[in-house]
Amino acid sequence: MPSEKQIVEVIDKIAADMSGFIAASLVDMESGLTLGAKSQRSDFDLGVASAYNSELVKQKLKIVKALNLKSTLDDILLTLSDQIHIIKMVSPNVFLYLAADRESTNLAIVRTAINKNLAGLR
Amino acid sequence: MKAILAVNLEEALTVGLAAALDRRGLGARLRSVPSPKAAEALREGSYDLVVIDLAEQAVPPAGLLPALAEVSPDTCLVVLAGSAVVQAPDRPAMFDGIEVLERALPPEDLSIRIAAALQRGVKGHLENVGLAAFIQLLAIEKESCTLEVRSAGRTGTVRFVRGDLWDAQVGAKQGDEAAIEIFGWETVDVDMSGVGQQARRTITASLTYLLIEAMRRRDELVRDQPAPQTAARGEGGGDRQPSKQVTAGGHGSAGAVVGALIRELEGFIAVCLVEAATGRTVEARTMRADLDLELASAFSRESLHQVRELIGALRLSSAMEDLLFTFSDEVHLIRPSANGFFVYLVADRAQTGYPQMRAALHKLWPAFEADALSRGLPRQAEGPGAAISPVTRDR
Repeated sequence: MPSEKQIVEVIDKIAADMSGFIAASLVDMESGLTLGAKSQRSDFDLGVASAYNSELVKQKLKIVKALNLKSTLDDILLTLSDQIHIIKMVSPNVFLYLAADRESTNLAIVRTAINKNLAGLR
Repeated sequence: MKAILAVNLEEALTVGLAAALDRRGLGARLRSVPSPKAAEALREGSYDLVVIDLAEQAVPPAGLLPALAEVSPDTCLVVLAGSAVVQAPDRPAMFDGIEVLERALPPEDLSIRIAAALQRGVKGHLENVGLAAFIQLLAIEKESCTLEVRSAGRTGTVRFVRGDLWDAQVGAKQGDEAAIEIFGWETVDVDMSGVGQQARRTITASLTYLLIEAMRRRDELVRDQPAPQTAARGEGGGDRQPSKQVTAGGHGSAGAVVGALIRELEGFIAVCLVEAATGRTVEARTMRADLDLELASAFSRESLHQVRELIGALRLSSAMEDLLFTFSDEVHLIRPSANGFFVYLVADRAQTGYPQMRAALHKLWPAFEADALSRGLPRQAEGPGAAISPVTRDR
């Protein structure tokens, strides 16, 4: 498990590799706690976002179990009118949450930036 | 004991192959002949499989395949060829239905593939099977085979080549129309055999579309014959939908919208249209028997609720467009409508992606919204629908 400093460094790299970065955090699902975070906007409450997203992932994993799906969850993408929020599973219990501005980026750019730097978060 | 006719195989390869098959517990009798003698040998004895070595040639010796097809059209064929032939993006049509293997593979690997081909060549008989599920299994397993399908005195033939629906025939019909008719038979007896050779491809539409279309027509047929309880209620039953609504367009055309979505989207697995406030399913279709759409849509409602909470908690002024879950093999997309409904769409990740799903939904969105409104009347609840049948809530 990388240290908080290392995590923030990786998030910095992701932010540098993409356009439209708003905020990102690495979240431990069991506790809902943030392992490392960085925000470009002071009004974007990452703690709150991390907690809500933990619930979203947990609930989806419950669905997978209830529906008896053999698949594993790779990522969740929330498209809003002006932002995209992506939740990328890093390990079964940890995910990266990233919010980006839709005006200045697109999904392909965000996914590429995340995948390129994902190894540093494991 | 299986009998294999080895045509034009070097002696070392024949011996190596026999030994490898033996080690796999599939003792096989291999007879080796040069290609001019192949048809004659096939005429003399009965073989489960014919292996032809092309050596460095790109195509088999002229006349060999037609001669073999003439003697024994149902015998399974395996061709060993150089890597250029194996990896060629477009193989000549003469290889349709024939397994082509790289001849330089070690005998151990070849034997595995040949054992699999032998297994496929085995004739099988199945009684009382649900045809749709069986057909999908063949497609998933990338099988090559010929099915003789019988139901209520009717007989049809369906051919698969490497998991692709290739040809269908029933009576004078051939191709897509024949497939739709056969897939509409409810329970069937099936005789399965090797694919044979030189089957011309007659199917143009996707398997998903053909299956769904067959189910739709069957349902229409059932609806056209007045059910007893409907008759008892009399003609004045104002809540009964006209049975031909599917082609009518506009109001009440959910079947048509879903049909269009299936045509539009490669890799379609399931869709349902749900009233967000109540969780009531307005329209649902699934290609997968084990996918419980009622349950999935109930959970989707919760996901939507959580997203709204998140937007509220973050004090964003954004409106939600959609929510996408990417799994190792499937993608699930939830899209809310402005008038209190949402669509839950599931597709195969290998065949499609987020942009295609979004584009298909975007294109059909006005129809979905109109449909949700026109069907937004309370209806009695039903249990989860049977697999692959359109779960239309019409009564």
